[in-house]
Amino acid sequence: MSIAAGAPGWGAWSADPAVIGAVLLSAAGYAGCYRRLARRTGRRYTGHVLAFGGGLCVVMVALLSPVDELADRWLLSAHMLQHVLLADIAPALLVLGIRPPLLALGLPPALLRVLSPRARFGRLLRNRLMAPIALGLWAATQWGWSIPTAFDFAAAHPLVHAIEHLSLLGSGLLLWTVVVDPLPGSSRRALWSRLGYLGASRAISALVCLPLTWIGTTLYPRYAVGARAYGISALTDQHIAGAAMCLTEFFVFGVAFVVVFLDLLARDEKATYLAERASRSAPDATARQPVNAR
Amino acid sequence: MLIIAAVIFGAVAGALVLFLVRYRARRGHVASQVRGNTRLEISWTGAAALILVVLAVLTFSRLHGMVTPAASGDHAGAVFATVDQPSAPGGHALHIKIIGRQFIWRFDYPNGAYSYEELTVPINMTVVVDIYAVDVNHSWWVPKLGGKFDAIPGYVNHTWFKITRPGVFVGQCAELCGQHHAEMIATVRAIPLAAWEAWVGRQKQLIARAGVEGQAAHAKLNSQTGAAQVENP
Amino acid sequence: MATRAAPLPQIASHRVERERRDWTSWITTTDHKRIGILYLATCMVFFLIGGVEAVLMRSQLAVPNNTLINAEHYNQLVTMHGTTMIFLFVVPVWAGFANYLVPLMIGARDMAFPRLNALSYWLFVSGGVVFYASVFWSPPDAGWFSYTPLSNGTYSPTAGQDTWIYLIHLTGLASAIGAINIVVTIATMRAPGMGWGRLPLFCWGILTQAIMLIVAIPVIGAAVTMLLTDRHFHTCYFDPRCGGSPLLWQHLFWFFGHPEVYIMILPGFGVISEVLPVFARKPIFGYKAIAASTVGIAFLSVLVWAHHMFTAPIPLVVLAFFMLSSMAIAVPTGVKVINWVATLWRGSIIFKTPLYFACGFLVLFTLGGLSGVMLAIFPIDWQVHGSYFIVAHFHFVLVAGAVSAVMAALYYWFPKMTGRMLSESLGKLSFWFQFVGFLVTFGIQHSLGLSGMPRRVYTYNAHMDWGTDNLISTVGAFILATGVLLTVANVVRSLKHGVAAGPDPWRANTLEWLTTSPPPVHDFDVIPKVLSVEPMQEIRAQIAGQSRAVDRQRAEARHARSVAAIVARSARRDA
Repeated sequence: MSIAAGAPGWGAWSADPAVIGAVLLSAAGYAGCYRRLARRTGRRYTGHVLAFGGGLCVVMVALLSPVDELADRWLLSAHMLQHVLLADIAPALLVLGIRPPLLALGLPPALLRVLSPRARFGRLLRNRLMAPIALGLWAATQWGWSIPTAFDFAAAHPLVHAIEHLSLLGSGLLLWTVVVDPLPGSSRRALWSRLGYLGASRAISALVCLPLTWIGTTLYPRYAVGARAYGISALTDQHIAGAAMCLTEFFVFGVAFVVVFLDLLARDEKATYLAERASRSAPDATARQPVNAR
Repeated sequence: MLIIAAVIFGAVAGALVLFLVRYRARRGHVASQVRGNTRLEISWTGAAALILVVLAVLTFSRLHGMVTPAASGDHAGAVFATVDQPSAPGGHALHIKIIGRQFIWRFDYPNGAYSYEELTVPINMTVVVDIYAVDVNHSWWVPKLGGKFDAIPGYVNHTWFKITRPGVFVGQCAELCGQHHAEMIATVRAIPLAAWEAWVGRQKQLIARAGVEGQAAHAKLNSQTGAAQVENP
Repeated sequence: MATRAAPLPQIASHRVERERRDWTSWITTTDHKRIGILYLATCMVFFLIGGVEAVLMRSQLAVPNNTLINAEHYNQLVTMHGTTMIFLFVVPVWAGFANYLVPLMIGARDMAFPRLNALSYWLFVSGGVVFYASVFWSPPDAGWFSYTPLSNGTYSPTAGQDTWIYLIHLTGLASAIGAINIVVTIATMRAPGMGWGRLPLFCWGILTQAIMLIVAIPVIGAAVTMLLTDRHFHTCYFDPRCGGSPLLWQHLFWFFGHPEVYIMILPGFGVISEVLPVFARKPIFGYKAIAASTVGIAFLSVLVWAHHMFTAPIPLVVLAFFMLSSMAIAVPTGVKVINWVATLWRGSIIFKTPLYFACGFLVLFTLGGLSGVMLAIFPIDWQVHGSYFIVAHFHFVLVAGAVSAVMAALYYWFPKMTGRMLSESLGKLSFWFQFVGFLVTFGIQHSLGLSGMPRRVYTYNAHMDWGTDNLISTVGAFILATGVLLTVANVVRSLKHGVAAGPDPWRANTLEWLTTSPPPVHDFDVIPKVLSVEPMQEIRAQIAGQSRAVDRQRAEARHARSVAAIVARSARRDA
């Protein structure tokens, strides 16, 4: 089990200026929002910062670390792992980083106006069609880029590869926006469909990872004939790709499901409480209404 | 593993009994209306996850030695395990084909000999087995020689074991395969290499001779029944 | 002529129809309570049949080389016992409790679709009847998971296997219809003020179970249809001789089969979460954590099925994946157990039979859960899979888990259903027989499994040294059966002679205890407004407040009357 000549080791990080620039830019923007929020409320939001920072770190690990090099030329499993990091984990953390009250209290007024339900963009984001579109895009990127021809073509052409990664990240951000619901002003509504969209998104990616896990022939020619790293055979590589993808999605699903569920319970509780406070004018709590009035 | 399980069970059952005794209803005692404690709940969720991570790491650290067949030779203890890698490193291993059928096991040896019910192998030799089934699902299981591996028609399963001292190991089919599932016994007899070589050679001769005798008997039977048919149309 | 009186404000009463009590009213009923009772009574019959089958098997295995039951009949008993207990007892018994209790607990007057509800009961019964009709010809004998090729036309040519397929279809359809009904009822018919955070935990369990059923039933429906066409119409899904795959059956079956385990146990979790706080006299510890772990367990359970197939020819990587995902489920389950124990902490515990069964559940289910984690580690599973260790494990989960919860639910809600209490002394006796009997029967089977005894063998050889353990296990089975019979006797006796229960014998927390026992056809005279997860606490406080106010008014009125009388008397005297 010797390391094949040329397979990258732990130290093989690259310094892609485009990636580093984008990361720095979003970090700066986030810092601005956070400072405004902290000034207004006088409190610290460590959880938000950790989530957002974690998301940026995951992006960097996916695009700058040896994973990228391995994914390009050596291992299908590394490439699939890179996709999961970009499409699922990074967006989830980034969107968690901007969950309420960060956007509502942290954005500059001009941007808030753009996001408000009355503005065109804000309306678009809150449109009923938004969630199905996000899910559709998620399905399109998950399935589309897993087609062997497209997958191998992207791995071979850097520009297409960059587009692939951007589209995965973008569709992930959109999907998690639907699931986490971070927009200002919508925090009181308990939309139980969020759990449904989360489940549906997992079902969509399961349709990619389960076949990879079970199929007994190699599907991706580039990786089947390419150089072998770390003594992993092509078929085992494909099995690892599928199983690792399934496992990551599974854990993300488990944690996200419980977190979103608890968030929904809390929102529902708040809504019930507010409704009760509003109708406190009727002091008799167990209103004795006649049967046939129902 | 057992120790971890025992500790967890002791903690849960102990707390349960303690609370049942300590907080049984007494006059003047009012239950405290605690609804929960987020920090406590998060910490025991984390603890449970941590225990499982430790178990998983332990399993994976032991796994390699189990699934990779050992080299043949003189090692202490009974070594066994199993896998999807059918060959031992160095290629020095005995390959046996095991075929499950209702309701008997058949063993094919490399020299063309075969046996039913009892598999005879040499000691100190890594035995790599390929498991087949011809009719319904069976499962190969000799408890002292490692885990069980299903024999499923249309698939091949693999395992390996190495026995270091002469002896007889008993097992039986472990997947319901029909009426006489309980009588589908498998025995593995381990003998020294020289004795095994002699045995397997003799087995081949016996089979060949039985084949010849069988054909003769068959021919005789055919002619007899042929005659019978003529006599009694 | 008197003038017409002006209408007085009053609690308007509905038109009360006299309840019909003849037998036709039972077979035509759409009342959720009656359908619930029909379910429970039918399930009790199937439970007893399944129990007799279990005792017969244990008797055969009591000594080596026993000839009480032959191989053919033993395999039939194995199949009938497993199938009966799962498809005709545990799953429908929860449908029975759900039918009876969910509308009462959420403050509704019936299920959302009452006639659909009746349909699902009658489909379930016909499934059971079709299945047991095979006893008169040739019962199925391929085991409750009917692995192909053993269950195909070549190796199981008799119609028994077909009755098994029809049973799955009919009970599956019944469950799916019932599940849709439950989801709609809980989603749309909760009493005013009952937000999702105030839904009783039993209803959370039932709701999650219903969603699981909707996910899992179509898969098994498809699988048994494929088996049916393989058997009769020469298709080739599972037959390796013409290109089919026996593993495909295992995948499909366990994709349904593992969620099925949670379908059987989640409502039990709900029962424990209702019973413990009532008898500890304090709120449940971590309501949200328990609700979240209920739904978490359910949805994680759809991606762990291959841990039933660890010994099949599957790549090692895949085994590792399924090991990790299976272990992950232990986290929410562990959270639940700890929260339950914490519910008792600093309570004021009242020892009644439902609490006994709930605590028995906690002890035994924890053991079953721990052996479950061991089984998730596939190298360990390789050794004990398909042995008596597995038999012990799933009986710890399903008998000590689901059946203990059923017993707790029975003792807890029987007063509501019949208006009479079950006998406490008989109940506690029954509990101890069941607890000890269970431990003796199944505890010892762990060691049988570790010493190499495979499951589903009709006999074993004397020289295998399994005789003593098996004898102990059989003795335990008879103790367990005695315990169950004591409860049956208790039910029969208490129906006639039980102490009258009154509307709220346990001083419990949820809405079903507001109405009379048994409740009227329309469930509630008034639908109360719900203000917390324990609405009965406020309602009791309010009633106490009201009755204090009434007392005060009466006292004042008495005082006024006596003053008036004195005044009148003195006036008369003056006159």
